[in-house]
Amino acid sequence: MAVKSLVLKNEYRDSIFLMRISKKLEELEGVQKASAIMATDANKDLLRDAGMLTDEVKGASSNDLVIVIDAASSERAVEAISGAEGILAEEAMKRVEEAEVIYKTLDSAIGAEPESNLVLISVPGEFAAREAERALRGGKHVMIFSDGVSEEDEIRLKRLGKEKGLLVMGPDCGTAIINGIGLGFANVVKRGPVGVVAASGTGAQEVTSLISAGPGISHAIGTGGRDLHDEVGGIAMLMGLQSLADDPGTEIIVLISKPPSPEVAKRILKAASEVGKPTVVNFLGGDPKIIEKINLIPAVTLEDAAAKAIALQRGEKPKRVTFSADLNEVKNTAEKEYKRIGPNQRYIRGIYSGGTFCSEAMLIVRDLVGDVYSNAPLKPKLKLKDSNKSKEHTFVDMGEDEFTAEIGKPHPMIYHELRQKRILQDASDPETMVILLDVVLGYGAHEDPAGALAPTLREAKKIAEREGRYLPVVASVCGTPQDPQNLTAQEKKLKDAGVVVMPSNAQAARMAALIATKGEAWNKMVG
Amino acid sequence: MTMELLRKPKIINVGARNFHDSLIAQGADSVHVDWKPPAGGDQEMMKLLDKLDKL
Amino acid sequence: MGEIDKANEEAVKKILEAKPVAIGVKKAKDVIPGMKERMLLHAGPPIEWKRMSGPTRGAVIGATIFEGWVDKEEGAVKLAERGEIEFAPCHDHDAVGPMAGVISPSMSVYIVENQTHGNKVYCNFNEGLGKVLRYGAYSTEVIDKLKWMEKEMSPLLTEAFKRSGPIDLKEIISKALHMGDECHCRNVATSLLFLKTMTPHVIETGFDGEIIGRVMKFMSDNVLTFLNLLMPACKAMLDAGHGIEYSTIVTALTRNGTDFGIRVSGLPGQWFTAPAPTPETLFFPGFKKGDEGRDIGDSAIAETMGLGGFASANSPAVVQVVGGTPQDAANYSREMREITVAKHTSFTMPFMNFEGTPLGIDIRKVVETGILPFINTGVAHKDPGVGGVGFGLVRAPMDCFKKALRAFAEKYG
Repeated sequence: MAVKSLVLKNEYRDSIFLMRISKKLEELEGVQKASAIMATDANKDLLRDAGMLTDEVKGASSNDLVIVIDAASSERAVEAISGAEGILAEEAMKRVEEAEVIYKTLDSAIGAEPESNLVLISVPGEFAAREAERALRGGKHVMIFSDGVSEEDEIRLKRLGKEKGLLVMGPDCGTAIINGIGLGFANVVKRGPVGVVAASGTGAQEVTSLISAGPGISHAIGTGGRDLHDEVGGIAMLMGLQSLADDPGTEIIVLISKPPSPEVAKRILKAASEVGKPTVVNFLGGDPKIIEKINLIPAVTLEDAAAKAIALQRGEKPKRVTFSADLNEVKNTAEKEYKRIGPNQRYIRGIYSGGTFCSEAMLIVRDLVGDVYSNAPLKPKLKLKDSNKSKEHTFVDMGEDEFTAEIGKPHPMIYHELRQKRILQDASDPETMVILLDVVLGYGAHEDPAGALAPTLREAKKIAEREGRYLPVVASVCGTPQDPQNLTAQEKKLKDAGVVVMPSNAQAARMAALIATKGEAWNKMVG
Repeated sequence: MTMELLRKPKIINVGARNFHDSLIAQGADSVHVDWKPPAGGDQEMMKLLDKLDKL
Repeated sequence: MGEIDKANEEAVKKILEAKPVAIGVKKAKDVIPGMKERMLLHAGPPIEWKRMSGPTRGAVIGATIFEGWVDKEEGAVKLAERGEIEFAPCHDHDAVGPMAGVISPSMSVYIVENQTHGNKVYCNFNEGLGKVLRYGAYSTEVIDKLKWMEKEMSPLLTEAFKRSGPIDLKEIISKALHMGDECHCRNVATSLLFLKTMTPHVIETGFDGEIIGRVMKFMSDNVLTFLNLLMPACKAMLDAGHGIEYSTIVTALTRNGTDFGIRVSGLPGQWFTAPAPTPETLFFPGFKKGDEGRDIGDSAIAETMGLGGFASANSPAVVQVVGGTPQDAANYSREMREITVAKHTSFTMPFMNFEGTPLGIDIRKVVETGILPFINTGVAHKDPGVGGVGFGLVRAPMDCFKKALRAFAEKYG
């Protein structure tokens, strides 16, 4: 274990670019851990925790780019460091070459681009509120992709936005679609009359992708995960709702969130009922009766919300979907998987990149197999002591801070290594019965997620086989055929690796439960 | 104000370059700000700048 | 709009309204306010003898000999060490001087007047390149040239100005920008335009043909002739915007080979200094890395006014000094937009679609963005007695702006 570092003074690159660099460095021979990051105090702490904080890096400032390599030997570390600058230069050249001007500050961009109307902010969290405030004072709407912004700041910014009639999407808002343009992580969806307001990025992605196969989407407005907390008061969702109400292109509205505080829920539902456009409400795990009472349409899952919106638009009666394929086929697929499972295999292991997908899957599965442990559990008593170790049924949200705060902030939708490791780890556990995954496509995501995961999944199944077990893998792919990665092609890659691919997150969870109960959950599901 | 946005988003992207690249690939109107921490991360200077901003 | 932005708008308005014209020539002791008998002005912020850079010392020695206060180097040094010479920044006496910028009482100076607001600025004559006083040389040949300039060039120009009337310097600069000058390191077109304007009046003086010949040849051969009119013109314009309450606009960037100093409009009477950086230098033949002295001269007043390095985009020829393609030069000009508040209305750059030069460096923007003003400059040898070694690029040091911001926040915050 040899650690070597390199400090590049006054060099700054954005975090996603640095992640690519870190990844490339880790591909070098003998390199065990590599990190290309800015030497902020927070990052130095992370390096220290990883045993990678050299004296040189300690003395660097937050304005300096540092590269740290932990390699098998001193020679390898040195080699990697000397290759590092070359890699930086190479990667920089791969960026889109353009004749247009690039600004150095938000202020100069605002000054030179008077027609602009939205500022998309993805700077480190500690600086995001400042930039957002500048944007609002400059009269621009804001989408804050960054997380790590305090609730206090969020409230202040949203109140300022409200005062000025400006939308504040976020913080921690990963997805928006405005007039057919995807912002942040977004899928290529058909344009149509259904508008979405979502406090969940991946929730918005799944709903818009599914509706894309139907009538299509007018806009998807993000609010950030905390918008429906009491103190924040749903300011963004209310504003988003109003915008869709005023938008002549929106006929049907879909609202998505985790259960809001009752006070906020009341306000939002009241506002929605006054809009006068048919509105589907998915407050994950919330009480459908409250929604029905006010003449809105409750949905129990993301898929259900999409299906109901589509039915409404078509003037059809919304149906409850358990499985969209032929039920006999579904039964047979499940049987083919579970009949090969060994007697000691007992637990479902969900390894998720999207938090909402993880939560939704846990809700569905707990009624069918029992309690599910998690790092983001439905009940506090089900919280994993160690997020890195599965216990009984475990669904882990790998997009959570304890994973992404690791050096370089790799989000599992872009960077697969952590999920790959976890898949193999759970595959090696003799008690694992089914592995369950989400795969997310679209702009911003990895260029080939199925391609990145398929070899690992094959390896996982081989591990089980070698030890006399059979390991089923179930997955859903969130996206559309028009996405850069192409939904159809991605699903095929997974199927070729022996994965059971389901058309939605909810159906994948059900399939996993069906396999895990060896078919016994069937009646509960379809009955 | 929101109607204008919904009609035609014109974006200023601050931070990760690939969001801007995605927008351009979609044919959207976007400019990129090659953002760096203000005042090189110097907390004292940031506080002074914020103070003066309020004048 | 906040107080500061309002004040900056006011400062820029005054700077744009200023009209600098050259009205004549006189001896420093007769026109420069506060000029004393045993005083030497120098470029840059205040500096005492023992901390003076090599070139400045060399120029002090040469000026002392030129004035006749001593006849040899040792005498000059003793005088300075004993505190018998008073030193002061040119800037604090309504003057500017390039490189070491030493102006002594008996030297002739151009008088530049801002006709709009009435303020005046003074600057000595440019001696040409190589072994000259302003680069710290003080050999006999240097002193002899200075004496000749007083004997023949000064009286001729004095007479010529009486006939020509005020020469519009702003117009010359505007035109020269459309002829490939950036007006700091490249003053070819400006000098040409100035000489063209003066020639008939020079001839009309009726001075001896050979004197006229010598002076005109000297001024024509010197590609930097106009620099010593450009600098006071810039200071005259910037001073019009100096002393405005709440303004964060920089009204001077200057150096003395030891320290780099800035002046800020809303903080009159104060200097903000930091160690002068060493320019990245393109050397004349015979010189190499290690010879260069630290950044020196009042000539960064050009950049303060949006010319020189800020107008890099405009001078394809100077691009070689900035070490790259015309695209690189354009990028420097674009970069300077990030730290300035306005665009000049009369100084425009054909190579940037006739966009105005970046005007009004704002200390807040410099600190916030980390982008430092970019300067093209002549480079002196680090030792006294040698001369110029090449041209180079340098950036103003961040500390000057941080200090200024602190002082500004204390005064107005």
